[in-house]
Amino acid sequence: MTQGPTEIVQGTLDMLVLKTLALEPLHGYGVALRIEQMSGGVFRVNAGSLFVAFRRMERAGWIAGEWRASDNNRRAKYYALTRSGSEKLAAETQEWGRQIAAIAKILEAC
Amino acid sequence: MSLATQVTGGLRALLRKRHVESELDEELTSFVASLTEERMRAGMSEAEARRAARLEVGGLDAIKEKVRAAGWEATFGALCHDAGFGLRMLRKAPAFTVTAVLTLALGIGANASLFNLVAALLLRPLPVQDAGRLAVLTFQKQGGPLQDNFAAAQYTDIRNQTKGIFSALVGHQEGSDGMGGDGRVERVPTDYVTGSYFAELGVRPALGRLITPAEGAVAGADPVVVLGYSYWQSRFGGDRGVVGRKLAVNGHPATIIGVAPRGFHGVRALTDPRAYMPLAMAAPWEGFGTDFLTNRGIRNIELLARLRSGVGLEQARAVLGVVGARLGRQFPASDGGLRISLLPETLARPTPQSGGQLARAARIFLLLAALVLLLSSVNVANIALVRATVRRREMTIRAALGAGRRRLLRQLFIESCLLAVAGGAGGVLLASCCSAALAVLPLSAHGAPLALDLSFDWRVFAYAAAAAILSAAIVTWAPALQATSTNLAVALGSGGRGATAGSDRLRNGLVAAQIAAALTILIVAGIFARSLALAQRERFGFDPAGVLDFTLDPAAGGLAEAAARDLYRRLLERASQLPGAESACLAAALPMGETYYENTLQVPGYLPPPGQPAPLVDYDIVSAGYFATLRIPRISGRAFDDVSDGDARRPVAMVNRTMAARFWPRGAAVGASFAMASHADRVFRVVGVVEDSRAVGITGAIEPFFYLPLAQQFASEEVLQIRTSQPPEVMIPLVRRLLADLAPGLPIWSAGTLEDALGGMRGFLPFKIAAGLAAGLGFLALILALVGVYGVVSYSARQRQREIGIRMALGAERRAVVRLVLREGLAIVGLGVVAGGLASLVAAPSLGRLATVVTTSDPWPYAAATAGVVASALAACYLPARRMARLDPTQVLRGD
Repeated sequence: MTQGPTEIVQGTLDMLVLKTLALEPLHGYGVALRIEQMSGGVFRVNAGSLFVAFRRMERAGWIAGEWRASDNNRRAKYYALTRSGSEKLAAETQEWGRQIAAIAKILEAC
Repeated sequence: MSLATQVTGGLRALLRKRHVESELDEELTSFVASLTEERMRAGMSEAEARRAARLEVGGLDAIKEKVRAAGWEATFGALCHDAGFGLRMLRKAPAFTVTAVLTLALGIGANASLFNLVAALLLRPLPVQDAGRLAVLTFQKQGGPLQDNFAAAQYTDIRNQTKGIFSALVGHQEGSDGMGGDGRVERVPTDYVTGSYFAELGVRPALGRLITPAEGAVAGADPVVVLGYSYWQSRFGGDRGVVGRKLAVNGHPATIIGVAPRGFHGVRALTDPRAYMPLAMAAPWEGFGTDFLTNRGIRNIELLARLRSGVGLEQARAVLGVVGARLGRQFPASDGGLRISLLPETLARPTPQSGGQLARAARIFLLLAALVLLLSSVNVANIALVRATVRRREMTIRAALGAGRRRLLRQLFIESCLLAVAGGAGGVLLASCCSAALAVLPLSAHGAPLALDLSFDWRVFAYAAAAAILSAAIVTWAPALQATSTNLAVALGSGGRGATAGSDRLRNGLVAAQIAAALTILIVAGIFARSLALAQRERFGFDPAGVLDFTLDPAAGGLAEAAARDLYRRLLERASQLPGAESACLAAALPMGETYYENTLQVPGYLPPPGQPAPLVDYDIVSAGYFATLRIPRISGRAFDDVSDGDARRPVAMVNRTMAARFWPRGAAVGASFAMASHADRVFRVVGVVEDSRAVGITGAIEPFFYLPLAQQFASEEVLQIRTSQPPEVMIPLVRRLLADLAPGLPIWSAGTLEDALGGMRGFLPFKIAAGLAAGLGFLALILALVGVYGVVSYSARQRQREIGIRMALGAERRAVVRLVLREGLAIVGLGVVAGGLASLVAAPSLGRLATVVTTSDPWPYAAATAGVVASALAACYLPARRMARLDPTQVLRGD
């Protein structure tokens, strides 16, 4: 078993990004940091994957970007959840719960 | 996922590329900066922190590339890049590009023009409201032949009982009338329509008003005319004062009440009536009896319905079945065993009886054209293969630099697409020229010029585009197979010179396929041509050579029956005395002509076979000299006599051999009698039997036919026929002068020879069109195949140049060299001929279902087409063979 940070479980990055943005709008580094913190240092987000996800979700209309001054007075692009984004998050969360339950059932059965 | 944000986001990325790039740049920089600060807070020096952040984030350019590639615009951009590169490559090889584009344009053009013709004939809906729901009504009686001519009384009954399924039910009867009144009379195609015709079709007048539902119910009551738009333009110069003007229809006074809208051409797909009149006016104007609106035996009108929305064909058929059965019970004499049905309007072209003949022919010709497209694409694929050998180095270098197989294939496909787009544009241009040429052809239907709308619409463009994509796929496929399946090291090492045995086999196979396709098309063309020749050689039972025809209608010149009869009597007398005239006669209908008469017969003593309806028989109305003039021999009984048969109270008839044998098999035809179902009280006595002759169709069995004497059965429009030994150009002016002398001002509808008249739509014209079209496609296919053979043989000869040079240096004779090259070509041609021969043997029987195909087993088309292909292919092989034989071996061997 590895103890260091690992890559995020495949296919869950979108959901995790949406979840972090559900609390408040964040810039790219903020999202990465938040995911790392919230997972207790288990997950580390790859910058490349993160920006691809931003671009994809912006295109899909789930998040909207806005340039603002950051805490330390640097210009940064803050992403916020849109309405269709929160719908998407709800749907993804539910689906994830279903899958986890199913996997747990299989593991318990053995 | 919202499509709109996808599109706008992509477009923004494309159009404001720099802005979007710099945004991404700034985002990434800020990310790295934040990470650096974080590391510094953890205790690293600035330089260390920056290094660590960089390391953690990875290559910024790689990230940017990944982000860019996430949207669709990235693929689009790459495609544009490839297309630009492809264009440069094509510009570098102008000879290849021009040849390829022209070849593709030929193939696509042939397909687009043919499809345009098919679309005009079969696909384009009528220009009226909801044309997609229009259907033509048909009926059968006691399982007899399919018919579409209803009685006016039936129209009223059906209309009243089908209001639930039809939102419109209109009837019409085509006519041909002399329009005069301004000193000039001309015969034009017309349409007699039911009162609700325009209102229910949803047609609005261009000028004045149209015929209203109240008109056309009482015979002769509403002498009004609506002009067709094109006739208003051509004869009246688009004069807006035309409404209210008087004119003469076949000599009867009438008033113009309005003009139909532009583009409206009646409810038959291919005709364009010049004028529309109320149905009831057919009684006085077309010479129908006044009882034609009530007599259920006189069936002249065609019915067109529009299904209510939500009503399906099957539902409508079920209702019509009930209506037919009800009418049969109500009127057993006329409507017994009546089964009414309907066909979608586009499937009923040109007539419901044709049973999809036209569609079948269209499918066959579209298939042949598709073969031509295949041939032209294969030609281009073949030259592209040669180019691929040359470009192998480029491809291998690109592959070595990391371009994937898909990427290389895409590049090839894009180049083919560029060629296909140019070829498609050229093809559409070619097709528009073809259509313009086709529009001038003198085609006619029902005596009127065909109204073929040959202007291009989306269907033609879509078809041309599909053809272009197909050809692009074919052009890509062969070189792709070869260019991307090569071993890098081997290809780079060979310096782009050598060709592999595999690619040669592919090329040879493609050319063999071309020969096979061309041979198949030529055999089909041969079958059509042979059928035309056999049909022309067919013995018609009459002798058309040396017979002149003049179509006249004294009624259109204002003459009543008595005056017309007098004119005809004097005309016959004088015409037979003209120098060179042997005999003269009058006939209401011509063999294979547009006019014909038919009626259901009641024959005492004859019972139709069980389950068969009473016989429906064609007839003609002729003067006594008809049989002598057309040289139809009499078998028994007497001939007509213009004088003694003058008493209309003792009707007589002559019958053909088939009719005599069918109804009176014991040889008692002369003296027997029969009646027509429409006028059962008039009993005709058979006075003579004549030999069979063809009257209504070039192919098929000869059916019963009878003749009535003009002396008893008057029809104003007659054809004066004169048998003469003089050439027509001498005789026709003589007859014109005679007519001008006897009846000054009487219009002559047409003047010509009987042989010309046999070349109409019901005669040889369909045979000629089929043979001509097939021959054109076959010629194109042969040229393309020969180019293919020539190309592959001369290419492979060039590849073997060194070997041949060595052979010659060692003493091989020129003839041996020619044989060497020819042998290779012959192997390919032989393979193609065998495959093509087999394919046409399999395909030919399906041609036999076309009316214009007399025989599919006649050996001549197969033999002639095969000989032609082999001979011309040999010639194509001989050219490179001779060039090889003339090589100077010392030069060849030194050259390498």
